[in-house]
Formats: sequence, structure tokens, C-alpha cells
Amino acid sequence: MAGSLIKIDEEIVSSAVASVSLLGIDSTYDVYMVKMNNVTPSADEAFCMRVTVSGTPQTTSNYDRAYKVMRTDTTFSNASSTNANLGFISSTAVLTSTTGGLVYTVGEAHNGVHYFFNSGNIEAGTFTLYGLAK
Amino acid sequence: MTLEELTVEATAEIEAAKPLYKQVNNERLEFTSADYDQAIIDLANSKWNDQQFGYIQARQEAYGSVQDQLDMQYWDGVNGTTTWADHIAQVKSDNPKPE
Repeated sequence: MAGSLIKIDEEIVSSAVASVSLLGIDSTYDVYMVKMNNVTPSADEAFCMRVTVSGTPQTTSNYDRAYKVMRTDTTFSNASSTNANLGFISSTAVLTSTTGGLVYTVGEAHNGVHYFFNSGNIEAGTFTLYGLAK
Repeated sequence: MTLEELTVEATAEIEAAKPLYKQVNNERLEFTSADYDQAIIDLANSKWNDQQFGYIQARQEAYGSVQDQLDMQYWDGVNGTTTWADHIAQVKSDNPKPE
């Protein structure tokens, strides 16, 4: 049914790993959504992502981002960068709400997304990739 | 420290943390050699960013809210004190900009 979320991949981390990849993105859907629940780092580190090509995370310096960070401990802040070799999702251990965008500026087919912390492990968490039915 | 020195430090930390794993298709697989190489690069870059720019975020967190700072300034005006200026100077001193 159009508008339904179709589960494509789910990774349940029950034993610590340094990274998680969600694969299965192709031209089937125009819109994909990732839900992360109870993601727990082994240390206070920045949470990052990369896109994958045939399952391999892309590490070239073509990640641009700009977003507004609403913080629970102090006033809001802006965050932006260009030509980084990874995409930051959160760069502070403080609870925040982030609104903005992240783009990998290379014209090629990507089949997934890859998540990791700057250092240390993902101790636990559930990562789910959905496609939005046309 | 230079990026090269931080890379040496990162290499030692990744070596000590071995084995590292990745989860793909619900399989927990040990990092490949390329994965370990990338982890060292990422950790070294992270250390470099913390060293060069970490003071900015640390200062933002330590300054406190604008409301609290305005309150300090108001009472400084009333009481003739320098609480706000002292606070800002202390935050800068505690989180120095790298040379």
C-alpha cells in the first residue's frame, strides 16, 4: 500500500561491534528511513555515518552537512562542515535534537548506510532500515 | 601533537582494542585489514579535531545559557561586581585555544 513503511534490513546489536551496516537501498523506493533505538556507545564519542557502495563504506572527503542543534544543557548552536570524510550525526555526548541535512556529493549508486562512533564500540541498539512504498 | 604523532597514538589504541567487529546482514564479522586501517585514520582524525577545535565546544558548554549570563551581568551592574567577566575569563582559561 502506498505510504507504508516496508522493513528492508534490521540489525540488533546484542554483542558489541564497532560498526553497523544497513544494506538494501536501491531504486525500489524513492524514500528510505532509518530508525535507531537504544543505541548505546561504549564511550562518549561522536556518532557518525557513511554511505556504502556494494557494502563498502565510502571514505572520500565528500560529506557536507549543516544543521541546527537544540541542546538540553545550554542554548542552541549551529554545526556545519564541507568535504569531510564522514558524516557527523551527533558530535556531543549531551542529549540534543538536531534538524538539518547531510549529503554525500558523489554521483553513484549507494546500497546502504554505515554507522559507527568516532572511537569505541556500539554496545547495543537496534537499527532498522525502511523503504516508503510508492 | 602533529597528525603523524596522533596517528601513532591511534594505531596503538586500535591495536590494543583488537579484535574489532562489524555487523552486516546480522553477522558479526571481525574487521578486515582495510577496516582496521580506516579505523586508525578515523581515530587519528578525531583526535586531531578534538585537539584543534575541541576547545570551542568545551567553551560553549561551560559558558552557560545566555539567560544566566544576562542575569550575571544584571547583578554585576547592581552590585558593582565582575562575576560575569570573571566567569568568561575562567572558561577561556580552562579551555585554552591551541597554539
